[in-house]
This record gives sequence, C-alpha cells and structure tokens, in this order.
Amino acid sequence: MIEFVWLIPLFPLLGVIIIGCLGARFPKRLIGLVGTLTAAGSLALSCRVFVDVLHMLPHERFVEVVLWEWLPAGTTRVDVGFLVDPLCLVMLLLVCGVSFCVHIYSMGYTATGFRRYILCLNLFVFFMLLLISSNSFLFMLVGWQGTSLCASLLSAFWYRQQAAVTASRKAFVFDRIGDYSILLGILLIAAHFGSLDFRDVLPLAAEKLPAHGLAAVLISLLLMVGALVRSSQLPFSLWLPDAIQGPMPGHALIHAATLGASGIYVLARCSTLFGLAPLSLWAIAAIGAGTAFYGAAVSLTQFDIRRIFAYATVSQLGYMVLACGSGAYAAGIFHLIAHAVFQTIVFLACGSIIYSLDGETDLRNMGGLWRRLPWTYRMFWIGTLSLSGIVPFAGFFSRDAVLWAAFQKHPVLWIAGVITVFVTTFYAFRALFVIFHGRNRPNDHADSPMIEPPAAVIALVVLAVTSLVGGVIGLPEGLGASNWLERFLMPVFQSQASAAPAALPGPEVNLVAASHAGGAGGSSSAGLLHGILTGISLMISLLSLGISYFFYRVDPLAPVEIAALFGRVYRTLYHAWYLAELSDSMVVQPLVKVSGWLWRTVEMRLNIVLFRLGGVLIACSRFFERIQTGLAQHYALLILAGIVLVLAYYFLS
Amino acid sequence: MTAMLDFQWLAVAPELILIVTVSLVLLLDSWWPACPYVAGPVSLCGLTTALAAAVFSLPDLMAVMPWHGTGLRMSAATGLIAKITADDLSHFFTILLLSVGIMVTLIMLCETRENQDGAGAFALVLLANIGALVMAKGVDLLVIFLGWLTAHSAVSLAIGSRRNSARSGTAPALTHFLISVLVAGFFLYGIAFIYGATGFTSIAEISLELEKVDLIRNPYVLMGRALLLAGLGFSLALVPFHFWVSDVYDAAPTAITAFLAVAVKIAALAGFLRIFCGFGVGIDENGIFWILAVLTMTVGNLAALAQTSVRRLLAFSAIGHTGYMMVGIVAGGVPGWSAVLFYLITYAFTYLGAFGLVALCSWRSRISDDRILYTGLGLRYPLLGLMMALFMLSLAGLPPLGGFMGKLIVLRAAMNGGYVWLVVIALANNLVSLYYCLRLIAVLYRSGSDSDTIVQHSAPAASVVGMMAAGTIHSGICSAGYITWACAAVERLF
Amino acid sequence: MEYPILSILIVLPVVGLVPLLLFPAGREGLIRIIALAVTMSEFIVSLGLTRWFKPELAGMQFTEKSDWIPGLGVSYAVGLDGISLWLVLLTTFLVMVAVAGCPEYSTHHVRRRLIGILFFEAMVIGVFTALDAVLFCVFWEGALLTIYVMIGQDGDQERRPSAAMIYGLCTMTGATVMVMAILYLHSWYYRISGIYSFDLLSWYQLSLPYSVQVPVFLCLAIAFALQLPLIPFHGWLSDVHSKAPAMTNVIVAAVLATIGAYGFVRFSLPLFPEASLQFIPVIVLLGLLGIIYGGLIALTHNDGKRVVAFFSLSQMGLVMLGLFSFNQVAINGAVLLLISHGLCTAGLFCFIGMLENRKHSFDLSQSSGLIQAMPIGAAVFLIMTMASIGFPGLSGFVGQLLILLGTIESPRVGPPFVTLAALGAILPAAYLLRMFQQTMFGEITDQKSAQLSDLEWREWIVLGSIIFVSIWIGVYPKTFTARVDPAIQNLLTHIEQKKEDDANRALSQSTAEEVEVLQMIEDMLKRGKAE
Repeated sequence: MIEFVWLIPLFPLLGVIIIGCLGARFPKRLIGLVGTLTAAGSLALSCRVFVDVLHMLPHERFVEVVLWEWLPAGTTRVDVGFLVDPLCLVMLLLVCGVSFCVHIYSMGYTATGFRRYILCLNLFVFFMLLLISSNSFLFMLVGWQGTSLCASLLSAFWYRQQAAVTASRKAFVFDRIGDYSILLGILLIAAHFGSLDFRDVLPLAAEKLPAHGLAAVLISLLLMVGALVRSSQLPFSLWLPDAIQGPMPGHALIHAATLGASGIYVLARCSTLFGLAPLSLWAIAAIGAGTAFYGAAVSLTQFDIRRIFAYATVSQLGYMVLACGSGAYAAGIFHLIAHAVFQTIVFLACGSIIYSLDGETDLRNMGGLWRRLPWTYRMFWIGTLSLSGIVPFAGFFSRDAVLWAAFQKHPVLWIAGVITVFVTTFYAFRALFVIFHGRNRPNDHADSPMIEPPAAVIALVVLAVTSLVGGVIGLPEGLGASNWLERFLMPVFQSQASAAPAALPGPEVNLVAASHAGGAGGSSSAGLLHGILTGISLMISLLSLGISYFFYRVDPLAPVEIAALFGRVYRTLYHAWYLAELSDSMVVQPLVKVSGWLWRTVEMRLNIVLFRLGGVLIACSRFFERIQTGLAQHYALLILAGIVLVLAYYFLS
Repeated sequence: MTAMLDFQWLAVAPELILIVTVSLVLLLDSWWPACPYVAGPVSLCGLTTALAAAVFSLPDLMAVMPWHGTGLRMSAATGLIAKITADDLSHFFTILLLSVGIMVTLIMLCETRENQDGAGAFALVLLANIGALVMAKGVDLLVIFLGWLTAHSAVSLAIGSRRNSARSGTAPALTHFLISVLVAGFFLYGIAFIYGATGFTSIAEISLELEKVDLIRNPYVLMGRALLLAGLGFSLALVPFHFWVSDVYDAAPTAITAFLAVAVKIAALAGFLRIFCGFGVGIDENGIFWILAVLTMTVGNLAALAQTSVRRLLAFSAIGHTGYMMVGIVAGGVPGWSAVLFYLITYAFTYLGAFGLVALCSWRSRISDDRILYTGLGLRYPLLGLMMALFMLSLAGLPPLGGFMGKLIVLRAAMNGGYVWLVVIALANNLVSLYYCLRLIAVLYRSGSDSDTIVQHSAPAASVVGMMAAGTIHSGICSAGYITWACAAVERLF
Repeated sequence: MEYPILSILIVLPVVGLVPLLLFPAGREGLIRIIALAVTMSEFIVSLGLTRWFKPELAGMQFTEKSDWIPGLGVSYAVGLDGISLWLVLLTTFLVMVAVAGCPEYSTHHVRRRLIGILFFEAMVIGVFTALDAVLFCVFWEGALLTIYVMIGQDGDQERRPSAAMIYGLCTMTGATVMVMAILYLHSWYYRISGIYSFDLLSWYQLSLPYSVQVPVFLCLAIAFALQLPLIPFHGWLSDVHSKAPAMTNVIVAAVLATIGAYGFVRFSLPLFPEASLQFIPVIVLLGLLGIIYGGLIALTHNDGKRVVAFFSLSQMGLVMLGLFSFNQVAINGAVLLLISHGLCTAGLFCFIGMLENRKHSFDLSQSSGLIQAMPIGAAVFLIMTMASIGFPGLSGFVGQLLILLGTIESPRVGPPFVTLAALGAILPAAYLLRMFQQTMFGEITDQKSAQLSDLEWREWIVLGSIIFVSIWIGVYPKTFTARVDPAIQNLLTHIEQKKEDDANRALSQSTAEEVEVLQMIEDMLKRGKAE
C-alpha cells in the first residue's frame, strides 16, 4: 500500500475539485459530507500505510515514492516524490485525525460561506499533507507556502472586517519572510550537497559539512529562522494571535493543531543539520524558552478568548521549540501531538461558546455557561487539564519530557519552563472559571440556533478520549517505562544522535547521550533526578491551579488589584510587549516612506533628461529658423562665408 | 562641319522632343489663352515620348558612343567643344528626370485650375526639365553650366507664377532669382579659373591635364573647385548655401516645389558626380564633404524639428536628406555612389508622393498654417492619412519602406569606408527626424480638429500619390533591382 | 518539414488583416470573429511547430533562406531553435488570448486595434525567427512602431501624446542604436572575412577583438534593455501601462519584454562572449536594482496597472540575472520565467481589462469588496496573483527557483547576488497580495461595484486557458525545458569555444604583428638602396 501514499494528499484535493467546480448548487450538508469523506479517506489510508510500516524492521522504515521529475535543475534533480518514514507517519496520522474531527465538528456548525470554508479547509489539508510527506526540501516548499496561503485565506474569511484582512495579509507576509530565509537555506544546501533530496542530504550532512563550520551554521540558522517564523516564535510571534479572526473550528485545525507544528516538523526533519551547528541549537533552545514564557505571560492578561488561547498556542509551540533546541526531537514531536489534541479541543470548545453567544468573544461578557453548554463544559475541563499538564493527561507526559530535555540542555532553560508551567495553568483555569462559572450572566441567547449539535459533541469526545489516553505513547523511559514514540522515531534522529557528541561540548554530551541511549549506565541517577523534577513541575501547576481558583472563584477583586498594583507591567503584557508597535515603527513605516520617496523623486523624474534634451534641440531649431531672414543680401553673405570655408579647407589641407 | 558628322543627334533626342513640346505648348496657349486644359496633356505627351525615346535609343547609342562623349563645336575660334555623353549614368539620370517631370506635371494639373497662367507654368517646367537633362548629360563644364542656368532661371520664374493665393510667391521668387544669378556668376568664375589653369573645359581632358602637369595645388584650380562646389551646393541645398530653401518651398506652387526638391537635386547630383569624380585623383576632398555632410544633416533636421508648417518641415528635412546623400558621397567609390543613386530613387518616390499629397490637401484651402489643415486628416480621410503616414515613415527611415533601405545602404557604404563617426552622427540625425515625423503622424490622427478641409478629388495628383506610395514600398521591399541598376550606372566611372 | 511553416506563420496574420480592412466600420462583431479565427489558426499552426520540432537537435530547425539583396548579402533567412520555439508559441497564444479578451467598451477602436495586433503578431514572430540581421531589424522596428501607433491611437486621451511619444522615442532610440551596431558588425565581418553578409549564423563564427565587442555590445544592450525594460531604461514603462487600454498592456508587458530578453540571447551572448562576461556585474546589478526598486515602489502604489508594470520590471531583473549567470539551469529558468511572466502579466491585465469593460477603474484606493459581486472573478484573480508571486505548483515558481539554483552554482555570480535576487521571489507577495486584498476584500464602497457582473463564459475561457498553461508549467515543466535544454547547451558550448579561439587568436596576432614589423624594416632598407 505504501506506493499509494500519494493518494493521501490527493483525497483532500479531490474534495477541493468537487466542491470547487460542482459545489455551487450543493446543499450545505452534502458539502460537509464530501469534506468529511475525503478526510476520512486520507485518514484510513494513512492508518493502512502506518500498519504496513510497523511490519518493517526499524532501520528499513524509509520508503521513497517518486511520481515524476519536477524541476530539471541540471545535476540537482527535484522530484514530485514522497518519503514515508516514522516522522512522516506520525504527522500524517495526527493531521488526518485532527482534520477528520474538525470536519465532523464543522458539519454541526454552519457559517455563512460554508462552501468557501470547507474549500479552504480541504486545500489546507492537502498542502499540509504534501508538506509532511514530501521527499525533498523543494517539494516541501510547495506545502509550506500552500499552508500559509490557506491559513491567511481563512483568517480573512470574514473579508468585510478590515482588521481580519490586514491580519491575514500580515500573516502571509510574515511567512514570506520565513520563506525567504528557508529559500536561501535551500539554495545553500543545493550548492553544498548538489541535491535537495532528504535521503541524500540529511544522512550525509555529517560528511559533507564540517561541524561548527560556517556553512553548517548558516544553513541551520536560515532554516531555523524559517521554522521559527512559521511557529510564531519571538520576535516573529505577532502574526499568529492576530490571525485568529475566522471561524474557530478552522483555526482549531490550522493555527492550533498543524500550522505552527509544521515549523517544529521542519526542525525535527533537519535534526542532522542542526546537530552540526550547536550555536543554532542554543539559539533555538533560548528562543523556545523565551517564547514559552512570553506567550503564557501575555495570555494571562488578554480578555478576548481567541487571543488567550492563541497566545497559549504560541507558548506551547515555544515548549516544542525548546525541546528541539535541547536535541530531544522526539519529546518535541510528542508534545506537538499532545498539544495538537488538547488545543484542538479548547479551540473547538471556544467555537461552541462563541457561536452560542452569537460571536461574543470578550471574556468579560461571559460567565456561568456550564449549564447551557454541559458537554462543552466537560470537554473544556479535559482540554484545560491537559494544557496545564495535570496527571494523567497526555499534556503532562509530553511537557514533562520537554522539561527533562531542557534540564539536560541547561538548568536555566528548565527554570524558565517551570515558571511558564505556573503561568500556563493559571491563565488556563482563569479562562475556564470565568467563562463557565463567572458571576456576570451574559444576556441569554436561548434563541441562538446552534447549541451543541451532536456532530460537534462527537468530535469533541473523540478528541478528549485521545487526550486522556494519548500519554501512553510517550511514557518517559527515565521512569522505567518504555517510550514507544521515541523508539519509533529514533531511526529518523539516529544520525543526529551520532553527530551529537561531535557537536555538543561539555557536560551536556553524556547527558544527551544518556537520554538517547536509554537505560544505559548513568540512567538510574538520571531517572531519580527526572522523577524529582517531574514532581516539582506537577506541584507547581497544582499550586497555580489553586491560586487561580482563589482568584477567580473566591475573591474576584484580587486580580484587578494586582493588575493595578503592577500597572506598567500589566500594560506591557496586555500590549504583547509592544512588539506590534515596535515592528511597525522599525520596519513598516520606513518601507512605506522609502517607497513613496522613490516614486516621487526618482520615478516621476525619470524622463526629465529626455525633456531637457528635447528642449535644447527645439531651441537650436528655433535659432536656425530665425536665421531665415528672407533677405537676399544676408543669404549672399552666408554663401560667401561658405565659399570661404571651402577655400580655407582646400588651402589648408 | 567635321564636328557635325560625329555628333550623335540621337543622344539629345529627348531634349529635342521637349523643345518641340515647349514651343507647341506656348503656341496652343496663344491660340486658346483661356483654356488651361490643353497645356497639361500636351506637355505630358511630350515628356512621355521623350522618355520612350530615351529608353529605346539607349542600346545603339551605347554601341557608337565614345567613352568621353560626343561634342558640338561651338565656335571655331576658341576650339571649345560642348560635350555631352550618353553612358549608363546619363541614361539613368535621363529616365529618372523624365519620370519626375511627368509626376510634377501631373501634380501641376491639379493646381493650375486656379492659376490662370497654366500654360506658362507647364512650359517653364518643361524648360527646367531640359536644363536638368543637359546637366545630367554634360561632360563639359560649360554644358553643365548651361543646363544649370536654364533649369534655375526657369524655376525661379515658375516660383513666382502663383498669383491669387494666400502666400504670394513673388518675394521669395525674387530672392531665389537674385541668389541664383549670384551663384551663376560664381559657377562661371569657377569654370574660368579652371580653364585658365588647364586650358580645357571638358572634364576628361581637365583630369588628364591635372594628372599630367602637377596642377593639383594650383590656387586657381582650388578656387575653381570651391566655386563649382558652391554652385552645385546651391542647387543641392548644402548647408551654407541652403537659405533660400524654406522660403521658396513655402511660397512656390506645390508642383514647382516638388520639381525643386527632386528634379533639380537629381540634376545637381549628376553634375556633382561628373565633376568631382571626373577630376579624379587630386586633393582629398572627403574632408570638406564630411564637414558639409554633417552640417547639412544636422542643420536640416534640427531646423525641421520645430516647424509647424508641413511645407517648411518638408523643406528642411529635404536639406537633411541631402546631408545623407553627402554621406554616401563621402563614402565614395562604386558602393558609395550607387548607394547615393539608390537613395535618390527612394527620395524621389517619397518626396513626390508627399508633395502630391500636399497639393491634394492644400490647393483649395486658404489656411496659411497648414498644421491646422492636417490635424485629424487621418480620421476624416483614412486613406490620405495612411499615405501621409507612409511617406513620413519613409522619410524617418523606418522599415520596410524605401527610406529605410536607402539610409541603410548609404550608411553601410560609409561604415565599410570606415567613417564610423559619420554614421553615428547620421543616425543621431535620423532620430531627430524620427521625432518630427512621428509627431506629424500623431497630428494626423489627433481627434477634435476644427478645420474643415475639403479635399477635392483630383485624379492626376491622386494617381501620383498612389504610384509614389507603391514605389516607396516597392523600393523598400524589392530594392535589389534598383540597386543593381544604380551600380550599373556608376560602374563605368571608377 | 518541407512546408515553409515559419513563413506561413509570419504571413498569415498579415493576410488575415486584409478582410478587416475591407469590412466597413460598424461590423465590429464580425471583425472580431475574423480576427479571432485568424489568431486561432495562427496558434494551431504554431502548435504544429511543437509537433514537428526535433527536441534532440540543438541547432536551427525549419530554416528557410533566400536572397533578398544579394549585392549586400542581405537575405531572407528564418529559423527556429528550442528557445525561440516557446517564445513563438507564447506570442501566438497571448495574441489569441488578447484578441479573445478584446474589451467591448471601445467598439470605435476595436478594428484599428485588431489590425494593429495582427500586424504586431506577424512582426514579433519575425523577430523571433529571423536569422538575418537586417531582417531582424526590419521586424523589430515594425513591431515597435505598431506598439507606438497602438498606444498613440487608443491610449488615454489626456496623457496620450506624451506617453506614446516617450515610448516612441525611447524604443526608436534603441532601434537606431541597434542599426548602428549591426552596420558596425557587418563592416567588421567584411573586414575579416571579405564577404558582405548579414547572416547571423555566419556572424556567430566571427571572433571579434575585445575592443570591438565592447561598444557593439553596449549598443545592442541599450537597444534590448529599453524593451525589457531594464532599470534605468524604464522611463516609458509605468506611464504607458497606466494609460494604455488593457489589451495593449497585455501585448506590451507580455510580449515586448520577451523580445528584449530574446535579443540578449540571440545577439549579445553568442556574438560578444568576452564583453558579456565582462559586463556581468553591471547587468546583474541593474537587474537586482530593478527587482528591489520595482518591488519597493509597488509596495504602496495605488494604480493597479502600474503595480503590475513594476512587477514586470522586477521579474525582468530576475530574468537578466538568470541569463547573465551563464549557467545552464539559470538560463533555462530565465526562459521559463519569461514564459511565465508573459502568462501572468497577460492574465492580470486581461482581468483588469475585464473590469474596465464594466466601466470599473482598477484603482486600489477606490475599489474594494469586489469578491461579493464577482466571486469567480476573485478566485481567478487570486490564482493569477499566486502564479505571479511564484507560488509553488504554478508557473512563476519554477522559473524563479531554477534561476536562483543556477545562479548560486555559477562561479560568475556569487551568493550575495543571489541573496538579493531571492527578494525578487519574495517581494511580489507583499504588493500583489495587497492589490488582491484591497480590491477584492473589504466592504463595498460604491454602488457601481455592487452591481458588477461576474465573469461571462468568454472571459472565463480566456483566463482559464492562461491558468491551465500556468499550472502545466508549474507542475510539469519538463515539457518545456526538454526542448530548451539542447539550445542552451549549444549556446554555452559555443561561448566557451569562442573564448578559446580568441585566446589562440591573441597569440597568433602578436606573431603576425612581429612579421609586419620585419616587413616594414625590409621595405625601408630597399627604399634606402633605391635612393
């Protein structure tokens, strides 16, 4: 079945074509059905492929399926081809699963322009699947840009709101910046390796590129920037929160689950390259930790629930980046999966809430919804618990793995992570308490059409169950369990592990080595340490849960007072550290000025030379005309002059 | 009497026919003074028969004609022999001149309806034609001068022949007459100087003499050369001698203008070719020709740049074209001169066509500034506009028209001769000419003009325009034939 | 093929415009149908070219040669190689598209304009196939003149003369300079080989001294750069584009630029290898300047047509970079980008023209929310935009990427250049997307745009065909590159060859000079004895 892997992305494309060409007259239900069916189709197929791969030996789990040669770039041959390997499979399952759930959910809720919405969703899934299953950097770029396009289209879904349109353009342009960097990285790779195929580049990276070499650092940094822009890390973390202005279920799939994750995917995919440049690894880790805290802190102060959870996504992505930066790519992927699931739950739940309040998104106008949305309420609990990493939800294990990796990289990173844990739990439960138990009753929208249709509930339940039991795939080895996910993904990062000792100097070496070598000699002490750290982080999140309960259920005035107490800090956080204003004044305005200046002073005056010259010539012409007096004697004189001229020539030559 | 025997009367058959025609025209006019419709057809018949005679008399002429031509003793005393020749060159020029004469007469037919003295004008054109023919055939300085004088006096009479019209032609006619008399004096002086130095007036003998005795640096000869150059330059409208051009073109009847612009120029070039190539080796004249070429091109085109009146524009660009011909002359040799002759052909096509059009458009209208007259012409009369645009493009030297090929070949000759900078200057001038031609075309198609030109249908002029347009295109696309003809014409000389 | 298929291609449109001349004004419908039929048959014939074209052959195919002016060595010689093949096809296709999308609103102009376009088609195909310098010149000036007349005729009233006149002057300057260069080459060929000839293929064998190459190269470069346009020779560009009607824009933007680039491929590179190599930095810098300059201006500009014009400016910069990196892949990409640029600009301008048909300006500051009135139109426009900004899977991407890939590998153009050039692949996203969103999204401002009608089937087919080709290029470019490759290979090997020859000639020349000196000395001695 593996040779039919190209069918997986084909299904959504099929859906796009059907709905796009024929869907004009389809009833809404039929459209939704087509979308769901295509999603189901690709889900089923990817499961089948997954099973096939499971039957192979670990080191054989790399299958390349080439359809045709795409770019005839001389020696560097670029194909339309797919690479099936563990990493790709995990992502396939995740994307297909989430998209399936979201499709089901969407059938429950309808929006104006439902067709447009489903089209956008399917197109996105198509590109996303291409992105994760492609076999070369260039072909990956197809999915890469396609996803960003679809995302920005979804953000501009309600195209009448200027804010949404601007935000979508912002997102797209930000992604182009990332593309630019990635493009340069790819060009460098092509120049150094003479090929862009993953199979040719990644395994051979260690031989072709000298570790710590300029080329390695450049390539990895360029790729890093692209990936970080995509997963909206500092300082590029502006676009994602703004972009969430469309229908929530769509954002659940795109922005919460997969789009940012694709950046993590690239990091993991190019693990070998990063392994050669410890510098960029450190940069990645630091940025990840910083962003994790940043997102959480900002989310703490927001009132628009969409923004709250958008920043939550940013901070969670920060965790994943942190994991990748600490060399624990498996942990990163693990957190990616867990986060995709619970964030989708949260977003979908938010969708239900917003729908039921007729598009109300402000936290301050919500409260006491738990009676009206019982199912949403329960699912939201699960999502929140998983988000704030409480046992036994998947979020707990994944985040724990991340923190452990961070600690091995450097304790400071771990501390940052733990602080973030505190904040995360706090804002998560803040939202939950206020929305569902808040005192202020919003005006009752009993008449609003959509209160928890069955389809939505089913989707939510499925996801919730996954999030509940999902942790088992990545039980930490340190605690004596068998980390299935890490062992499954190991072949992908194998070469990275081999390159790591060369790359990472100092004490980290053996730590990382230990973490990768599993139950090796030093692991018992490491296991103990791991257990202690896990306990600490768990304690902390429980503590912050308690505090937020106190703040928002017992004494609602406390947060206000605190906000007043730290006014400046609060405002800074509320404005997301003024990043938007900064970038506007630093980048956008200058560009606008330059553009206007060029137009006025250069372009408008280009032809002036021409005109001036013409003026001179016309003047000459006038002069020659003025000589024509019409008087015979003048002419005679001039003729004489001519004769003299000729004579002079004759006699002088 | 012995001289009479070896004189080939056949060689002057066209001229004789034309003389007969002139007298016929004048007689008829004196019989029926009121009716202008006779003179035209008669002179047309005369010209055509002359043309036929010229064409058919060629082969047996070639058979008997000695290379240095045949002569007619003028007076026993001085032993001067007025020599004319009938080689390929004169044949070429004869045919060219006669056809131009026909065209001019046709144009005239559409004008003379209002000019009462039609017959006189026709007669004058015929006379001028005779003069031009003689110039083209003469291999003797005196003969050339005679032709020159005939042509110019006839023309300057004809310039004034336009009475009751907006632009009275008398003042420019007078100017032209005075200047031409002056230049005639110079011409004659030049001949005298050379005769005094060498003792001959026949070009062949002069050149022999020059080679035999080392007279090259002789001041008299140099004076002579300079004065002859002035004389021919006057009728070629080379730059220091060109000032009469614009006034005259503006004032004269269109047909006469056409004759001045084309026929006289052709004849003058013939004389130029005979004299300055006939003198053969001598001092290197290319330098002065180079200077004259550059001056003429530049002044002509630049002056045309700001013109609002189409006639004046044509006048100045005619000067510019003389400059291009000079470029060919500088290149010299068979390639250069054949290029010049080919250029002459295309030039004749274009200018006759343009002037035919001007005659068509302006023979009834009293508008002095004819820029208004042509505004939006192309929108009201698409065909006329198209023709005008065609001729303008040919003037600007755009492919695939005659003008382009002419320029291309002339410049190519210059380039192969190694005169790179001359070519550069010529092309820069071409750019200028492009500007005013394109601008005129834009005027032709500018909508919203308030002028109400009624273009009367006049079959002869229209036919001229049509033929010339066809010729312009044909000479551009199938230029091979013309070029071979031109080459054949000049091959004997070098 | 025995049939003179190229001559047929050149003559067919000219024959086709005779009936247009015959029909009286007022039968516009009929006239348009005839013109469409002519262009379609032209396109079909040109498809025949691909059918009989032998991809494996590198040299000229379908060649015809017959004397024109034997005395001067001017001949009517036409031929086709892999590069010109696609450009000819592009021309026939785009002209067909332009005629099919011919706006209704100027019925009083439609006939003149169609005549102009047909004539232009003939001329351009002549340019692409001419193998004789004079012939090339004739077609070249014919094409430019046609454009001048078209702009002058049905341009916008108030700006018409100046825009048209500026264009006319700029391009005619180029043409004049080109004539100059060609004459110079001709005389040099005569000087070296003793034969009068304007035949390009025999000129290729000519190896000119470097001192001669430079001026001629510069002349021709100016002539071609004026058409591309390459910065700073783009003075006419934005005015012409913003004032001329959309159909003329299609022709000007899509085809003229192609002519310019083709000139570089056909003349500059093979004739003056050393000069070209010498001038790489200049040309490449100008190209980069164009990329950035056009992009920056377009960022905030509000006239949609001008935005597209600047887009085309920056694309051409990229093309020049590709051409002058002397790298197989890059030149391949340049050709592809030429084709794709033609398609994209044609598509964008067609759409703008269709808006103009509906009496709707394309001013970004005024029109908004059009998607509500014309959803299909918006979708099509979106795809066009994406193709233009180099969205993968559509035409733009392939060309840009091949250029970048080739350039970074070529030793002559370094990574720094590539870093800047990559902006050309990124910047358009900013301004073209802005154009799309400002016009399509947002609230409907005025009543007029609320009542716009969506695309009708004719327009839909026109744009659809463009999109189809664009997707084809984006997904399976091999169809095109397979035929281009041998030609480029040929070109590059030819250049290397000539460089070696010149090296050898330099040696032999020095020896020859020594011989001459000896000769002179001997002569002097002899004279001395004589006296």
